[in-house]
Amino acid sequence: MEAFIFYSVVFLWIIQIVILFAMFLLFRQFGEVYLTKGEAVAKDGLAIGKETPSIKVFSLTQNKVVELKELFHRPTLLTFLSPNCKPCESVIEDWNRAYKSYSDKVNFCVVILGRDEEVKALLKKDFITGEKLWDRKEELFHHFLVRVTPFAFALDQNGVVKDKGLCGNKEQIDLLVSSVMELPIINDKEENK
Amino acid sequence: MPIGSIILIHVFSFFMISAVSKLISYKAFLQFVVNFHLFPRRISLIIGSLIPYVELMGAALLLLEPTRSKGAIILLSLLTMFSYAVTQVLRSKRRITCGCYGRLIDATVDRFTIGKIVYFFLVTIIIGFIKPLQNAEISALTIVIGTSLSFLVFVLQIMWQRYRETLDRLRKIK
Repeated sequence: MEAFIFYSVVFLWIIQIVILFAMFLLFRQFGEVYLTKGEAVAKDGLAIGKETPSIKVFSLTQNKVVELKELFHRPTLLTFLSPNCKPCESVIEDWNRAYKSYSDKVNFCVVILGRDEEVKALLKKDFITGEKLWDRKEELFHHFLVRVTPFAFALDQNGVVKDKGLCGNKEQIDLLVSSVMELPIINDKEENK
Repeated sequence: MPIGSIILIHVFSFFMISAVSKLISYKAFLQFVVNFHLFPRRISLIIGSLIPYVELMGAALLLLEPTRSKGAIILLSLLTMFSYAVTQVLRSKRRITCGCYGRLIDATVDRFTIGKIVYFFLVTIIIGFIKPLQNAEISALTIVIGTSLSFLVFVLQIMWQRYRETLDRLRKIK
C-alpha cells in the first residue's frame, strides 16, 4: 500500500508538470493574441500630442552623444528595433525602401536596443539607412513607454507625437509617414524673418 | 527496483507504440522519411522501411535483462540518427512532418522533437547502462505507470502541435 501511495504521488507530480506545460503554452497564446495585436500595441508608447522627452542618446551615425531633440529639425519617423527580434529584421528592407522614397521630406531615425555585440552584429548583417541611435541602457525605450519592437513614432519638427504604432511592414511605415508628411515644414530662415 | 521498471516500461511502450503507428501508416511514413531530403529517394526508402522494425527490435530487447544493454544501444543509435536528421531540417529552416508516430499524430520537426530525443536518449541510457536500475521487476503497477508516462508524452506532443497550429493561425489572421 505504501508503495502504491509513493508512486501515485510521483505520478501526480509528473501530471503536474504536464499541466504546467499546458498552462505555459496557453499563456503564450494569450500573449500572441494580446501583445502582438495591432490595436493592443497601438495603446503603447507616448500619447499622441505629447512632446518627446529631452534626453541624450548615442548616435552611431555621428559617433557621439547627441540631444535627441536636435534630430527633430523636420518631421521624423523614430523607430525602435531590437537585434534579436525577427519582425525587426524583416522590416529593415521596407525601412530602407521607405527611406529612399521619403528621406527628402522626413527624417528617418532608428533606435537600436541591446548590447554592444548584438548591435554590431545587426549593423554588420543588415544595412540600415537613416540616423542610427544606440539605446544601450534602454532609457529611450522606457521614456517612450514602448513594450514591443518594431514600434515607431511619427514626430513633427517640434518633437510632438503625431502618430505611433507597430512598424512591421511597408504599409505601417507609409501610414506613419503620411501622418507627418502633411504637416508644413517650418523653414528656420523664414521663421526668423 | 520499481523506478527502473517504470522507466523500462515507459521506454518500451513509447517505442512500441511509435513503431506500430509507423507500421499502420507505412506508406505515409516512408514518404515522411523521403521528405527529410537527407539521402537520395531510394536510400531514404530503404532506411525508412527499416526504422519501425529496428524500433520494435530495440524495444523488445530492452524487456529481457540479458539483452537490455543491446536494446539500449540499438535505440540510442536510432535516436542519434533522428537527432542528426532533425538538426539538418531545422538548419535548412524547412517545416516538415517528422513522422515520429506515422499518421497517428501529425508532429512537425521542431524544438520539441529535439527535446523529446534528448529526453529519450537520457532515459534509455539510464535503463540500459545504470546497473541498479537494470534489475527491473515488472509488475502491474509499473506497467500502468510506465505506459501512462508514455501516454503523457503523446499528450504533450498533441498539446505542442495544437499550440503551433494556433500560433500559425493567429499570425495569419493578423
